[in-house]
Amino acid sequence: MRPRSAVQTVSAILGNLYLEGWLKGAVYAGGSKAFCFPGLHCYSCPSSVLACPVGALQSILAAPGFAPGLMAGERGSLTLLAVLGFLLAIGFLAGRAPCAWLCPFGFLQDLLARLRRRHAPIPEAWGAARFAVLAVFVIALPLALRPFPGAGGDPWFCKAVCPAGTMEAGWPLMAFDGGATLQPGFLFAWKSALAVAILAWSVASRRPFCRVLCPLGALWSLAGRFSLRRMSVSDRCVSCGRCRTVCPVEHEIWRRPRSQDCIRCGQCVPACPAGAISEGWRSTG
Amino acid sequence: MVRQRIANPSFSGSTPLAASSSPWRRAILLPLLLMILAAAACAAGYLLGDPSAILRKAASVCLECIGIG
Repeated sequence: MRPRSAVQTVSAILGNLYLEGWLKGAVYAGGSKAFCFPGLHCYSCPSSVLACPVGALQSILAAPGFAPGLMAGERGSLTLLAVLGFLLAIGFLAGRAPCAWLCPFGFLQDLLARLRRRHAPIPEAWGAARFAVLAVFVIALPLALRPFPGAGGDPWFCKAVCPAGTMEAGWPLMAFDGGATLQPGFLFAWKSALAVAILAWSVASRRPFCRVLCPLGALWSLAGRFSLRRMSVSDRCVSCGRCRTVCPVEHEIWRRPRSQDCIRCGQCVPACPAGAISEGWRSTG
Repeated sequence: MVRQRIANPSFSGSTPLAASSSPWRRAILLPLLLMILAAAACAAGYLLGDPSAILRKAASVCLECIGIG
């Protein structure tokens, strides 16, 4: 097993220590759920012991009475700082490295990509969509779309998009319930179809969700521009493209070593025949 | 004049120590400062805010996540 796969496996296990949840069909309610998992992992997954940072972010923004005008000193805003600070601290430390090393949904996509040798390319420009998902579904809609002023909004990314929520929580909990209390409607059908489409796309292309739709990756991309951990390409590079073939997000690192697309998995470093790529902390020079 | 500038390290108005700290600042200070600020914001948020709001949401089944709510 490669070191990154081992770390991804350990991360997935540590985030899912409440295995009893799968027997009971219930979610964990312990105090650790006040803290966020450094990756996209639904807090309604029966075995999850931590909160999803994207879900937590939206639930705070969509809380009744929360408004940007009340930022100073308001407790909801301070809670927002807790989640945002957690995510940004990780981003400023290592950029998108948690996408490569810790995120269970990224791990799932890596595993699915192994089912095929050749993968369909994803246009680089599509990566801009993840910033739109972050701005619209995670921030704007939960904050703005309320039935009346002062009322609570909805976590629109969870509600309309998140395939991790559908797979880790929606499908298992619906199976446990068996239609006794939960009545699936259009939204469940839409989210199930979207999740299946993303799973199929993950076999055809490499990490499509991370590259095109993930709002967490978008946030870490933005913070990653200033991260302490970074990639470098020396002038020994011969632009052979070997790094792109081993990269889980097919990033052309020799063109843009500081790109927001790089997930800092480090697979390109040993793959480079010229030894031109290195990964490390910002140096003093 | 040129020789004077080279011979006198304080000509540019900076000491050798300040001159050597300039690239250090550019390379590390900003990201380090941002990371410390973010970590401090996180700590302040947990200490002064209402982390039980995250717990309340995370400790019950999220119907929106399932696609029912």
